This record gives sequence, C-alpha cells and structure tokens, in this order.
Amino acid sequence: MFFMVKGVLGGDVEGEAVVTKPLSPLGDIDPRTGNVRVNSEVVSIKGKIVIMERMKGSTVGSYVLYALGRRGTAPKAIVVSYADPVLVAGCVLGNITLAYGVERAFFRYVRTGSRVRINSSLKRVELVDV
Amino acid sequence: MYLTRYEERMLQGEEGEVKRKALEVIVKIGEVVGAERLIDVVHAHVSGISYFSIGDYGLELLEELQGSGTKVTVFTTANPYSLALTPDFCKLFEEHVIAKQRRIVDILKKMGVAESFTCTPYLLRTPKQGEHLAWAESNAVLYANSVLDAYTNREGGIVALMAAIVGKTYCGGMHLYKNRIPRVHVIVRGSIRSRVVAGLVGYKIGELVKEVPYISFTSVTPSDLPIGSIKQMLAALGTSSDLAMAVIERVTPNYREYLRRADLSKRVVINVEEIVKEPCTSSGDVLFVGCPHLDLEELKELTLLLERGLANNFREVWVGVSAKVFELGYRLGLVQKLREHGVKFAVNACPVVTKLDTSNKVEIVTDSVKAFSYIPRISGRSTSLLDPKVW
Repeated sequence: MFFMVKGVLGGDVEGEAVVTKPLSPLGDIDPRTGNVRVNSEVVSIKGKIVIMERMKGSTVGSYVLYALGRRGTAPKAIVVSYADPVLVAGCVLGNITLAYGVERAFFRYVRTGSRVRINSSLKRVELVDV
Repeated sequence: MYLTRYEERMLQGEEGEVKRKALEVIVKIGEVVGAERLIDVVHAHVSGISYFSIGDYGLELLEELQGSGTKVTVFTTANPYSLALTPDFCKLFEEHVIAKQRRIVDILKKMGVAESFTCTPYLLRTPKQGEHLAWAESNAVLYANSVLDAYTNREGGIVALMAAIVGKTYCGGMHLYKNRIPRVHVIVRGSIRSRVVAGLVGYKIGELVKEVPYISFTSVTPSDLPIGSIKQMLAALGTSSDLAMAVIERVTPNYREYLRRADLSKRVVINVEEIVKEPCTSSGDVLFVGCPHLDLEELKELTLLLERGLANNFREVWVGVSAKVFELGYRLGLVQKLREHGVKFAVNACPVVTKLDTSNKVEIVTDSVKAFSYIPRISGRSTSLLDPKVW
C-alpha cells in the first residue's frame, strides 16, 4: 500500500515507524539519546521513521535536528503533512530524509512499528507489509 | 528549481562543504515553498544569536561553521544578543552563560558580521528601494518591506545565516512583486497619539489580518506620524501575525502603484478608542524602552522626557540601542545625561531575548507592545504598558 507525497528531500530509506503527536524538538527530543517522550512513554527515534502531522515549537528546532545528526541519534526520515522552513533546515543539517505533504489517509493506516519505505523518485511513502 | 551553473557547482561542493550545505538548506526550503529560482541578496540579517534562544545546540553549529573558517559573502548584520555581555547587566548572570554568549558573538564577528548588533539593521545600512535582502527579525523585515520598499521574506534565523554564507536566498514570497500587492484595506479611525497607541493598533491589525494590508488613517496623515510610532506599529504587527509587509498610505514609497494594482473590496475598520483598553501606568520599578532599538531622534526625545521628571517615576530605566547609536549619542552628550538619570544601557543587547532572573518581583513598564507581549513569555516577569500620555 502506498501514499503520495508532495516531495521528498533526501534519499530513499526504509525503517520502522514511530507515529507521534507534533513534536517540539527543543524539549521533546533528547539529542544525546534520540529519545522522545510521547505521552508518558519514552520512545527512541534513533534510526526510525518519525510520522507526524507537522513539527512545532521554536526555531531552535533546526539546531536540535542538526545535533541529532552529529551524535548519530537522528531518525532516518521524517514524514509530515506540512513542512515549515525550521523543519526543512533541520533535516538538511541533520542529514535526515524528509517526505512532506503526505496524503491524509496515510495517518489512518500507519502505526508505530509499521515498516515504512520512502521512495523519492516516485514521490510516495509505502507501507511495506500491507 | 532552476539553478545557474555557478549555483549548480556550489551545490556539488566545488565551493566547499559549508557553502554546499548552506545552499542545500536554501534550495530545499525553496522547493517546499514552490520557488522557481534563487536570488542574490545584498544584505543578510541574522536573528537567534542570544544564548537563551539557541542554547548549546545552536552554539555547536556555529562552532562547526567557525571551525571550517566560514565567512559571510554579503554585508551581514545580526540581532541584539542577551544582556549577559553588557557591562550594566552582566552581574545578573552566571559565568558559563556569559562565556557561551561571548563565544556566539565572537564566532559571528570572525565570520564577518558587522560589529553593531541590532534589531534595526536599516540604521547600519539603509536598503534601497527594490533591493533584495535576506532578513530575519520580524520588526526589521516589516520595516524594510513597508517603509523602504526593499524586498525580503521573514526568514528564519538559520536561513538568514545560510543566505549570508552563499549571498542568495530562494526567490519566493515577498521577493515577487505580485505577492506584495495588498489584499485587504485596513482603515484606522482615531488619533494615533503616542507610541503605545501605535503599537496597540499594529497588534490589532496583526490579529485581524492574514494577508498584506493596505493601511490608511482617517484622522492623521501617516507621513506626519513620527517614525518611532511607525516602528512601534510594525513591531507589534509582527508580534501578533506572520505578516512580512504592510503597505502604508503615504509612507510606503511605492504605495500609489501598489494601490492601483490592488483589489481592496475586503475591508477592516479599526477604531483606536476601542482598542486602547490595556491598563497602562506612568510609574513603576523599571522602565524599558528600545524595543526595537532606539534611533538617535528617539534617544533625544527620551532624554527630554527623563529630564522633565519621568526619571523620578521609576527606580531604573533600561534603554536598548545599537553600539552605533550609543556612540552617536555619546558624542552629543546624550548618553552622559541619561546616565545621570540612572539609565542602564543594553548596548547591542535586548532584554526581550534574555531570560531574566524572576526571583525578585520587579515589574517592567514598557512603551513597546512587542516587548509587553514577549517579556512575560520569556522571562515570566510581570510587564505593563507605559501610559500613552507619557510618550
């Protein structure tokens, strides 16, 4: 099963999804570990594919994503409906693939733990086992 | 996106890794917003240089840039830093905060950023009409587009820094004439009798309007409004909205041309008397002025007001200025007079980007609606607006 996106910045990747509410990198993400607090649970996004509506919070977000990249704790990719310049800059600086403008239906099917593949040439995200 | 051969080469790393990365940031943001090409800028203005704003991770990126000997390639200015480096305030801060703030400033200077750190970069180099800029700092962006008719988006701090490194930004938004044409007519009824009122009007416009407004006034000729009031209005407009520009009748150089092209069937009327409701005060612990940083005329006006007795109403007066205006004021003897009235100077610095110690319950009074909005959010300090009758 696949869902179209408006664009992909960065290369093709495949990984395990972490579905989350909009994260504010400063405060929600710990760059030393790549851990994120989702509700009361601590989840690692290191090497994962983060799925969220959008990013939120201050412009420092770019710097936090950059810090994740430098420490090797960054996610492989981020998939969002809406990308703002703070997120785009952070993904470039942190070497994180960004898929933006994903179809809304994607959020109904994807779950934390789903296997997700990002295909930049076809501009789509794929749920591998569905 | 269309790229020139030179831009292509830069993107392939032929001009070095830092420029490659910087251009990649700009190109990708441009792709997301649908820009078709890049544009050369003549002046970049970087925001987010307070240690309290960017923290250790921001400092880390700057250190990496510095490590590779990166220099800016166009005239570049930067916003004020936190109070931690200013002689009149530094005692309030821990040693490690002062050291890190100094490191940030030193790196920017080594990269070639101008020595005056200010949110009024148009006082360091006034952009010409139609010039393309890459400015962060909302009040300066609104001033450049609206008062000077120069062309800039409201860039993020990091994008402005990347633009400074490559001398280019993406050509979208306010860089395109069609996006600068006003789409809603804002009619301001009533007297803009002070800076505070101008700020409240600007804040209200930002709350009500989501597209470039055409602002006209019924009972004042805008060209008669002091520039200080226009600064206050635009700074507040940038606080309550994402707007980068307002066309102001008789102020914006090209306003007739913009008006001719605009469809202003959408109208919003603002009655000044209805919005000046905030409780205001003319005395208190600390009076803070200089958000945005004062120019020389404003510094003169303030000196007169303090000499006429305003200084007696406050325990302390804090004044935000750039080093350039501070030096001009010093030469005219204004700084010395102001010091006699107990003024503390935030030179190249700003309380709005500083996390102030909240253990003492000092209340700040300000003429700036922008500062009134941000200081409680950033510092948790209780803040009041100055009585409009005062200034």
